[in-house]
Amino acid sequence: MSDIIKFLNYVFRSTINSYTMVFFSKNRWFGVLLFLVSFFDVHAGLAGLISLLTANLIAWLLGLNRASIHSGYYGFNALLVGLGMGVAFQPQPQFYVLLISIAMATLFLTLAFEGILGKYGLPYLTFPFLISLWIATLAARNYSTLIQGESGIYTLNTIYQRGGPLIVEIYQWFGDVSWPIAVKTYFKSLGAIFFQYHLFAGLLIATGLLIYSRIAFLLSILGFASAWYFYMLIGADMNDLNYGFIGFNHILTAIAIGGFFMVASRWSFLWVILITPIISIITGGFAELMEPLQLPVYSLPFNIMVLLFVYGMKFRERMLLHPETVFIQHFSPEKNLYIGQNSRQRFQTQYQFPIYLPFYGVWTVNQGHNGELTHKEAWRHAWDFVIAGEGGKEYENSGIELTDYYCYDKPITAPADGWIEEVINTVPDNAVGEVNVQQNWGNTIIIRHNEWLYSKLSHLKTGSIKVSPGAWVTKGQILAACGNSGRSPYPHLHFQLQATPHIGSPTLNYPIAQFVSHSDKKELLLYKVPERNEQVSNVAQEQALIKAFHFIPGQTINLECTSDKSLSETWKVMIDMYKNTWLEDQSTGSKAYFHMDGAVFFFNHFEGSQSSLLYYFYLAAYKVPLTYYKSLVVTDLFPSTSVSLPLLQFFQDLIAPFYIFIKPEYQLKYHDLTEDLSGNRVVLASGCIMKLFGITQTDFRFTLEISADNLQVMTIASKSMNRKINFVNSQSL
Amino acid sequence: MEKKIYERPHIVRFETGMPGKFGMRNDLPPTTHIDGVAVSELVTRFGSPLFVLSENSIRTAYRKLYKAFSTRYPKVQFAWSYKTNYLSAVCNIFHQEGSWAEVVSGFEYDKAISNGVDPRKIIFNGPAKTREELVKATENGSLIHIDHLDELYLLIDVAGSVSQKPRVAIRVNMDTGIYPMWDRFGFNYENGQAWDALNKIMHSGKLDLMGLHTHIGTFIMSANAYAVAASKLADLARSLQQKFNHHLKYLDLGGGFASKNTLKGSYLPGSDTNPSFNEYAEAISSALINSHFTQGELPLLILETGRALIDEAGYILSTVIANKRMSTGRRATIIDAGVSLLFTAFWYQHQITVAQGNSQYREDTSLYGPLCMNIDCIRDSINLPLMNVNDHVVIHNTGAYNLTQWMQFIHLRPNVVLIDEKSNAHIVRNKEDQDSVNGNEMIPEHLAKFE
Repeated sequence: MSDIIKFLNYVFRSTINSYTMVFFSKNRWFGVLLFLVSFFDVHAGLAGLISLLTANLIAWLLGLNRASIHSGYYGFNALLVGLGMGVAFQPQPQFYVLLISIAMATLFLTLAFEGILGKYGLPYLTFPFLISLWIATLAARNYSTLIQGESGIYTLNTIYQRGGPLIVEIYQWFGDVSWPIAVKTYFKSLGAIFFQYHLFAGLLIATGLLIYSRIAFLLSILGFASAWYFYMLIGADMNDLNYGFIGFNHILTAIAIGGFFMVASRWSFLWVILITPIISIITGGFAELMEPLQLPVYSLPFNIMVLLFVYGMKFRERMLLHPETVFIQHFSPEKNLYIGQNSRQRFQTQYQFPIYLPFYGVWTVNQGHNGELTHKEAWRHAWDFVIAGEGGKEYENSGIELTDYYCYDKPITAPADGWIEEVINTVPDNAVGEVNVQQNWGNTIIIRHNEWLYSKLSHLKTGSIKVSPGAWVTKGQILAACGNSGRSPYPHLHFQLQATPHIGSPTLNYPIAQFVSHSDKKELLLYKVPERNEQVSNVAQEQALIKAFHFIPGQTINLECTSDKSLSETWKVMIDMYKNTWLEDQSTGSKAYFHMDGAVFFFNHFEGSQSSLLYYFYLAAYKVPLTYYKSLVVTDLFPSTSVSLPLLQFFQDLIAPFYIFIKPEYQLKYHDLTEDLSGNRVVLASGCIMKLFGITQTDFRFTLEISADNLQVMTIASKSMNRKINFVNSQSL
Repeated sequence: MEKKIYERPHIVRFETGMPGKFGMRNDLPPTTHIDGVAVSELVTRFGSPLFVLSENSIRTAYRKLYKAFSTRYPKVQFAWSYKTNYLSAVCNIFHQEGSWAEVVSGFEYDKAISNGVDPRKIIFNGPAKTREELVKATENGSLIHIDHLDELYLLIDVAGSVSQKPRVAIRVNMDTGIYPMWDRFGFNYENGQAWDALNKIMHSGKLDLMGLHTHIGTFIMSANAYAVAASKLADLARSLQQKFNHHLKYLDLGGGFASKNTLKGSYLPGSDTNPSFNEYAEAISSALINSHFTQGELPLLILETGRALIDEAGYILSTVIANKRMSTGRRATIIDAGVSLLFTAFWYQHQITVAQGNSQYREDTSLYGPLCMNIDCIRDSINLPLMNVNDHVVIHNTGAYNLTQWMQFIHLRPNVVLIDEKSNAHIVRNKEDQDSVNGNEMIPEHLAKFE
């Protein structure tokens, strides 16, 4: 039974998404509105629906990607073709035969365009629709049984016939209404996207657009207005625009470029204005070209313009943020903006592969990146490390013996897991003060961490290297001893990361995932580059935190509120085939996506109910370095959408491309540590705080208690709430 | 013009003697200041004799030793050996630096608690722990190092009456290739006692076995002995892993690192011959890292270094009471600090310098203390400049054991002063008065009076 419901739900979602995908949306309410609008012309609406269902069904039967069908990727072109056909021809059996065939052709065209354009990372937009409809229109001229539709010619007749007197009255009221011509044209143009060239359809679509996205709505106006003014300026035929199959090109292009393929910003808005004339030129040009065939250009200008722009943007080397390309598509200009920007702020220095310091204890950076001695040009992203004694001297006694140097003969460890790529172990150690420029890197180890990341350790002690090429080494494993070989006047370790496996390869600007800086007070730094004279050490990881935040896919976690037993939740740890991991609340279906690299635990996305306990846990453990340093404070920023402030959020959306004022801040402090050889007890105190004009809008305070290697208690405190949540019998599968 | 220093006239026979490989003699410059404070000022302010401790030296030694280990081994923890010097000020310097406490008696245990040490960071060693002490240590979650089977049985018995599981390690003695072999503490490795004791612990199920401990001896002049000890402990740990799937949290290599003092009878000075911190650290770390442990399961390395961390930080300032000639014509100088303060004079040839300027003339001298006992000899023979009554001498490297093993004998014990890192001197133990000795005495009534 539930299988059938599941299937019907799938059909429903794939159908609705096919409607909204025309506007790059997956908003359900918007979909329902568009569906209604399409049925203003019942015959056309029906033809569209049949066409899209045909395409989706065949896609299903062919075994195409189900997520793509569900998202409406294979339906929306067929829908548009169906609508177009429905308007153009009278309903009769022969028509439906043709319709179904055209729907199939549209699907195959969609696949062809997906294959061709997909290689270049480009969208296929409504090209399949264009080709299908044009070809079908031309071909149909030879099919004698088909009767041309009259709806475009005897509009009132058709409306009366299909909708009755009430609809005629509504239609006429809108026809007579004395709004400025520009406003009327705007709404008509919106309606025209669904082949409904009148105000009421446009009004409904505009409402849906506003529900779906404030930014998209704003862009639709911007796109249309700039077109309007351009036509006035250039003295083009206003009727072109007035006759709505032109105006919507500007609207759709504005939404696509202003907020969908590009992150909405003043730069994307500027580009929307700048490309207006180009769309107009493409329209005019192609209209002339296709005149002999008596075919309308439909959405061709939109397709060409968006493809050109998105493709062009791929060639940029600089100005990557002006405007910024959307890399992870959330199907909402708002989400693309908020989540995209937040991710950039949080993770722009986050690298896929964490690299640690290659030694034990505290060492000093003697020469950093862009060093004044040898770290220059292609080799500028390297470090030289030494050990400084009390008072900063690198040696004891007179410093003329290698053994006087604190770092000499100290173990050098693997900075991360990897394969040994190359080893040189035979260059003799220099006497203090002498350099060997012939074999300037001295004894060296190169480790391959993955295909684009290698680390190099140089100037090692002669004969001290314990590993050979091909060996697998693990992070922290001792590889060799610090020495004085090669271009090294006194013992030190040269450490660099590079993209290629050779000795002498250029360096890569790559940060250290996590280290403690001892220079002033102890400070934990994440994904930073140690600076010259900085005293650094690896982080002492807190096993209690590592184990508590080690969620195993399949594991269930139960929570229970101490004061209100009915408030309980069960989370399941989930993973998908792209290795995304998330916690899912079984009752609300809320999802909190997390990442755990052994150094830091953090959440990168939350979707679902903001009243679930999972939501509070997401806020509380937004970013937790898995270590304990008493004075350490961790800060971070939440995306604007992570706190619930509906009215403020509406205004925020409207001005978001220009200014973001909802900036909830995350703060984490290490509250208490009870050390114990059999497992420490750690209490973290965190908060989510949002202030606006000095007034606190949101203020959540949390504590998380970890003991016996497990999360034990979470407390939530805010103005309206004071709860204590126990984690009970967390069990792995 | 500065006034010339007066030296009393003297005549000595000119001896060329047999030059050593380092030449004729070794002149040490006078020690006029300690950490920037004038010796004469210290004596004026706090009296003579006077114990002086340098906070700076203590911290420097600790950091140097910590660095030697932490740059070679991922997890290292020091535990301050209370018996070496349990002045609270000294203990707390080590605790501030991050040391745990290593105690060997109920008294030391309570002292560590009152110093504010987290009881879970106290290691309770020693061959003589009472039932009450074991109960207390168990309840507090301290680490109890079991010395003998009787203690093991007692502790299993205690475990039955206490809600907490005692957290224990055993002390292991072994042949590390040095003589004499210390086998009086703990269970022997070679004859299987240690393995037997570990089996008893695991099978009892009543004790929480946290680690292994060894104390191979004191003033160990060979770093390699520690490498042997570390591998033998690692072997025991592996046997536990294999038989019981039990992973130990720590290995405790005890103390015993030599300081820079020179043992009596040594030909060369200790500062030249004794292993450096780096040598000890290299021996222990590489032995453990090269053992069977994988990188992730390397246990915490605990060290109970005492002597080597504090010896050099201690000085005794003393004043010349008299000069005399012995029957042989040999010169003797009597100073006001005797073996009652300097217990280690029986083992070491303490380095002694004068505290004021002197001429180039020197003479072999016997240095006696103020006790009316024949054994009160600080140095049998030391080449010293000529000194006058009321001149001061500085006895070096006296920080370890003297402040715990000293005794009130004949004279009262003097002030102990700590010079902090800003060269301020603080009294950390007041000199004794009549009441310190008599205060605890009781006189039975019939002895209260006499005619």
